[in-house]
Amino acid sequence: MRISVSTARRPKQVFPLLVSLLVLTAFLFLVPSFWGDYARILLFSILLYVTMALSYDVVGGLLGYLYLGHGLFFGLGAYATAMALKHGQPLSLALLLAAFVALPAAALLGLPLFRLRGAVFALATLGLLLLGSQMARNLSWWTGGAAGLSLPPNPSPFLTYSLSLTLTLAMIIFHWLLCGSRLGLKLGAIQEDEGMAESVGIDSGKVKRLALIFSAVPAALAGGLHAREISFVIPSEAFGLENSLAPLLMCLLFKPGTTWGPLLGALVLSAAQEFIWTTIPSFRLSLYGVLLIFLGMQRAKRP
Amino acid sequence: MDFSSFIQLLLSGLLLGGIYAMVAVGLALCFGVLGLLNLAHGAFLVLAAFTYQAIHGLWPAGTLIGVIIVPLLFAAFGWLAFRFLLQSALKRSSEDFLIPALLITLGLAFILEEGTSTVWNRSMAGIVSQFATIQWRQFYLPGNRLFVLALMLAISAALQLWLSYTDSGRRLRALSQEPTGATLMGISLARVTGITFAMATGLAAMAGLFYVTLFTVSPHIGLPLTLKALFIVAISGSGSLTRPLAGGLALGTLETMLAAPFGANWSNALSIGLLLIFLCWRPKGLFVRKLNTGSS
Repeated sequence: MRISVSTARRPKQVFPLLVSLLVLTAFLFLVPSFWGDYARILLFSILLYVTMALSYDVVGGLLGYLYLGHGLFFGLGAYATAMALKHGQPLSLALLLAAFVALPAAALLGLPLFRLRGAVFALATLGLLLLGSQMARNLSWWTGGAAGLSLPPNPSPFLTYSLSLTLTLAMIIFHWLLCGSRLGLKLGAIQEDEGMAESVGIDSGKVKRLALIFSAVPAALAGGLHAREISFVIPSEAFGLENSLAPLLMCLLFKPGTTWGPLLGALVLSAAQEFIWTTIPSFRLSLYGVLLIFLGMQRAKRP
Repeated sequence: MDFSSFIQLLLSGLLLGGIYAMVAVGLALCFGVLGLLNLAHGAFLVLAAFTYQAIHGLWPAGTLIGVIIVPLLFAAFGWLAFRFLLQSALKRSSEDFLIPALLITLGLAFILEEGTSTVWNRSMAGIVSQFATIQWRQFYLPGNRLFVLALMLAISAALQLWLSYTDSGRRLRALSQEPTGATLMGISLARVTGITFAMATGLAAMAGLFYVTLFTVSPHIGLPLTLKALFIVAISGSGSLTRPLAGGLALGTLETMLAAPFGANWSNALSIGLLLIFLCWRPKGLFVRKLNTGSS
């Protein structure tokens, strides 16, 4: 899989992009006041999907490892935030806690995980996701077990929405900067040829673990925001497979390793999902299944 | 804990291991010997369980026939799945087929899982046991599990003999050991793989039949069961069809011993946790076989 590295850094090219981004952001900020609750909820979920897809891309696109564990950090963030909120903390502190849980978790998990590559790595991350789901069920005195935790209704939906917008914006900018940075180039080098990258002096272990951290923290924040918005967390939903699969498919649908690829993938797939749900409810996993099959068939084509 | 309770636990564990071994043997054939990772293994098992329950409900006297027909039906189903989903990708992949196989079978697993869940309206499946509990001295041995264990011993032996001494078994082994050479010798990759996959699916279906007489089956246990089977295949070593029996017995015993003090909820977490530790400790141990055409 080839990655494309964005090297556009000259002010002339950046400026119009930045301006349009700001205009779009301002517009999106105002949407809830004009178009009401449905639009807000829809946009909220799309924004979270974009964040998830772009954060997935750091490991799945830039580094190029097939990674099925993204939902683990989403779930961790959801539970951490819910627990903090249950103890009466304000949302911003709760989200901060989510990030502070995800960061060491990613750092620690990266140590054994990146001894693996390829399909083994994918299986291990899948196992981690299922383990997370199972542990959330088992540690019921703490996590509420299979019934999960429920929170009082969201007191300020606008705050949640604004935070998600900010998060997504930050993620887009961060991803774009990452693509052209030294770290991004190192990730691309590892993807192309890990042995060669190491021989050039790239500490692949450290770089990969760093990528995992950069992937995990936004996912945890997204999970926390999601928990606040729907006001409950249950293991099957927070650690659900769709939280790992959706970003994977959104990222790999168009062009992984770029900023626009996962972004467009997220927009297209969320639109498709929304459309399908209004016509055929509850076939989300099957849709993902079909897309996975196509993805697998496509992967077999490339040398 | 006194000695006789310990022995009872041990025996229960071995009997549990019998059904685990049955769950794993299909994957051992498909993945351990041939190298084709089938993540839909558990999903086929679950679907077979529900199908068998439906047949059993409609036709209680036809249980024996169901036991024969359902695996055959699913073997055919597995062959079709291979033919239309995996075969072209297998032929085209110039290197490791592992990741495409993973993705395609994972997708298939989801479709099957959601299909099962929707068709049977998200209910659970379970069938009352056919055999009475046997009592031997002071120990209780559930008759069902004893039957499964005995059956597994027979099946493992039969499969290993098939693999070692028959022509079709030899073809399979040749293909897994040296794909290029085997295809040059006229062994058809597509046909042998297809038949193996069909057999593996049939074995998964059979495991599903028995599983539903022992446990309550929900549509969502497919993927965790697949991982459990994968673990058993991994620790038993690839290439053998008798060692997964031992692996299954070991896992069953371990789970039962640990469930006594800690509770059954932890058995799933245990299996997955052990798989992860094993993977990280011996990353190469899981994938010794590479299934590809050998061409580039």
